[in-house]
Amino acid sequence: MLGSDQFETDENGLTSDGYRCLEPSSKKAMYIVSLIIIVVAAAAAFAVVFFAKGDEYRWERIAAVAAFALVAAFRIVYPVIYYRRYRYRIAEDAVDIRRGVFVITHELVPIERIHQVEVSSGPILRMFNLADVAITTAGGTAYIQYLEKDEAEGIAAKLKDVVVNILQERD
Amino acid sequence: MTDSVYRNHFTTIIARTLSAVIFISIWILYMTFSNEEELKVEYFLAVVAVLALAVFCVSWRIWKLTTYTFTDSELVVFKNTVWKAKVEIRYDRMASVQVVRGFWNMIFGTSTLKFNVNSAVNSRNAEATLVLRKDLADELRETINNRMFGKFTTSLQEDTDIPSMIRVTNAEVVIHSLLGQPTWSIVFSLLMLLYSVWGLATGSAGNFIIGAAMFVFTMAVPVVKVIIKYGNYRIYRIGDTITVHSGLFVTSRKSFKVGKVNSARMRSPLVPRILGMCTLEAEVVGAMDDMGIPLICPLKKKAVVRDFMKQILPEFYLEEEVIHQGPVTLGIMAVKSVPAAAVWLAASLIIRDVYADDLDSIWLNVILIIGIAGAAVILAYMASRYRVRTFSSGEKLFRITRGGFDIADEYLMYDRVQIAGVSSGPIQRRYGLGTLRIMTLSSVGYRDIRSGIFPMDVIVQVPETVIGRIRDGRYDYRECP
Repeated sequence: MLGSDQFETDENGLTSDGYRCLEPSSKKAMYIVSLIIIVVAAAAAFAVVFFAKGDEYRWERIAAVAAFALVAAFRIVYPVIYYRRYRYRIAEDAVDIRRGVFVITHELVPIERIHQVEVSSGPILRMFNLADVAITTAGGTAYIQYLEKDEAEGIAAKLKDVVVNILQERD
Repeated sequence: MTDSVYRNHFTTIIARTLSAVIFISIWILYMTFSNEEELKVEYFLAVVAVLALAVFCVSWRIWKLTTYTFTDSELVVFKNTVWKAKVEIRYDRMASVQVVRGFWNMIFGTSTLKFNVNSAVNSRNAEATLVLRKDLADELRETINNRMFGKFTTSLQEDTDIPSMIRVTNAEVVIHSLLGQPTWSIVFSLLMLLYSVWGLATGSAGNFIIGAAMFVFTMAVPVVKVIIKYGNYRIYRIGDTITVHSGLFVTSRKSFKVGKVNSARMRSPLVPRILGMCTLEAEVVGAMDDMGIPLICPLKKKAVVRDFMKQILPEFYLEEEVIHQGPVTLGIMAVKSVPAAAVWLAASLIIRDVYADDLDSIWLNVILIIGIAGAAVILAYMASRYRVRTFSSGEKLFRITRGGFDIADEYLMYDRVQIAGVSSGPIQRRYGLGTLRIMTLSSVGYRDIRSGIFPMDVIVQVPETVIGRIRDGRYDYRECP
């Protein structure tokens, strides 16, 4: 169910079982987030190297540089793999989200359980006309990330309509 | 039922004012004496009087402008103060009704009614709280119970005629208070006790006081609170309503419908586990106590608790074949645990080496022992987690057993699952294994429950069954919170 071949898409951008992939501009947004994290990690490593002078702090300096190298390497590779593996599907009765780099997660939210749907867009996402959709149930929140803004609004509107129809049928 | 309008009992004004006076007095005295100043009694009394008058006036105004209206279908709380608010709570949305008699209730002969709805938002605090004269509170509770639960018993009948479905002695409550806490909490408390004894033996007053204070706050106070909270414990079920009645000095009576139970749990910290004992807990919004334990049955023998669960919560009882983690799982767990143990041991050896010239040999040996013991605990925890984590599933329920030293059997209904997911790391994927993740409502909001590592085709049936029951109509929203 979570093998790498489940993420292959056709010419329409759909997997064999109807999942959609992210917009290419989402990778740019992920790279900007990675760049910010790398800069912060570099600043922290530099602070350790600069202030922990002397032979007695040699191991601390080595550890700081090694930690920075690991963080930088991970954040450079992360957007590529995350973008290639991120898939979502809005079915009749459930929202399906697949994502992950090392640990691949498949999350299922029954539409019947949805209480609230919210579209949000921070400064980095707004640069690329992207948005996240937060789907809230009584037991927690699931997210569909890095969607093209109109797509996000369309998904939110569709989910709200389905939820309202369910409630009206019950009344 | 015609609309009934209530206000809080007027003694809430007095209780609030007295509480403020006591708090202000203690604070002023503390500030005065900590600055080593002389207390001027007339100024002290003047300040306290002015503040008490201010609190009294504000409390009186809030009391005057807040009303509680019980209609045929809902409770309406209307606050016409500076921050106006109108809270409407439908009876069919209420998860639990609690009657509490605390210190001020005992003094003034009142009871506090607490109403909770089944929602992850603001689940820890009651949606509405109303203080009334005791007999009036009992009468109102009986009326609300009729509307919510279809119960037609009076409080007096509940206290005298309806026996508890399980006998819980106060001695068992004491045992529960001592052994029912998480193991890490007990170990930490004992370490603090040892620390205070060491401070006393070495003549270090500061270390003694710190150790003793930590022991009191982490062990002694919770033990006393549990004994006071769960003394005289009684529990019974009438129809689909469960009522828990307990309290040595502060009595509490909580009622909730079985339909509002989101999940059930049989929990066993390490020592009770060795003794073959466990507790029974139910996650119901608003039924949680100050210690965070939604208790149905305190510590008793596992067989007794299991039999009791069949009586009190048969809807959550499951006796299906148990699936254990496979041998490959141990290798996967070792990938994390063995390096962690090695890092812990290496760190202790490095610290020992760094301080070799500064510390006595006794302390160096203590550091070495901590290093070896810590590594052994990490590996033992891994082995225990491998052995105890299981999974089983039935038509309406599934069970996840999780933990390492302290274990918990979580009984969940497919129809109460809010979000379901499976995750799989690189090594797990190679062997077709994964971890189940369930998000559901709890007494304090929502809970994130993760299973052990099992074959993917076993755990993926949970999210598929959740959706399948909705599709084919087996899921009935009216039976769910």
